[in-house]
Amino acid sequence: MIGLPELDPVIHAQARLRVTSSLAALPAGDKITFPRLQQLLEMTAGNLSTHLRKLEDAGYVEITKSHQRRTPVTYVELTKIGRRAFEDYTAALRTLLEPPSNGGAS
Amino acid sequence: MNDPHHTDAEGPPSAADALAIIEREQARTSSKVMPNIALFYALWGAIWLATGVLFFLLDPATASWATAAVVAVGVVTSAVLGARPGRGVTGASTRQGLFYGLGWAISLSAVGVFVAGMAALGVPGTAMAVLSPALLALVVGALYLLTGATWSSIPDFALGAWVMVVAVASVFAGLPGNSLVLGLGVGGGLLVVAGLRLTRGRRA
Repeated sequence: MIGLPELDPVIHAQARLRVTSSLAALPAGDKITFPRLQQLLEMTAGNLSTHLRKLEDAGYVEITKSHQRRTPVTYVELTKIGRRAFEDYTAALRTLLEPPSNGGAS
Repeated sequence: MNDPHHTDAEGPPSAADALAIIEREQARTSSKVMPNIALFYALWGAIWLATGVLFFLLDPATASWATAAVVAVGVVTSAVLGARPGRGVTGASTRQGLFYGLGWAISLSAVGVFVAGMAALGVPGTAMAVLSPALLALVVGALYLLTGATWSSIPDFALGAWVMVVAVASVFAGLPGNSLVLGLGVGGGLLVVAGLRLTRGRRA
């Protein structure tokens, strides 16, 4: 197993992987409201908050609160570090799935 | 942890499962958050086609009213199709989308005023009937060229060039064939691009 890339434990969990993938699908620099993200992912608010907090603690996600006509709105966005980490994670997955020898046709 | 074949419902997914989750989630998010632009091409392709045929078959006054009604429906439908998926999303792409939409609105309004100016100058009715739709198509073609440049999309760029060729050809076709040239040429081009987008995925 020496030489195989480490998978980022912050991303490498079912729920957080779904959250990160979804956020990474937005164009860079875009953010999404919490309720819309929750609707896209079909997760409970509590579950989504828990995972977002872990991603936020790692610096992968930025959560901003603002007001729209006096109604508080929470926006979620992937940070530059987060997007980079997601790209590295995806690259690591592809390396892991490559056949060990060079004889593979794929 | 690094075993690609490790699978556990609660714990970390296997590498293969993780890749599948990424692909599924990204496709899902893109399809729900971004408008399905193939629908715009299909809609406006149908409108150009219908308008061309209307002007060819009906007298100009009736055809103008029918066209206005069809275009109004098109504008409202486009606004709804374009705005609904993006709700709850904001940022850099919002401004790009807004500028893009405004670009179309400003350009097409300018064509409308320009045509009114030509009529005020006393340009003969037969010349107006050929030049005004050709001018509209010329501007539309230029906008598709720039759409292709903005999103580095070959189908849009090719469509823009094609629409400009059709616009110029319609002037030489003259009355009453010009409307049919525009309807089939522009409408057909848009429908081909719509078909390409529907078969190749949403954001080709």
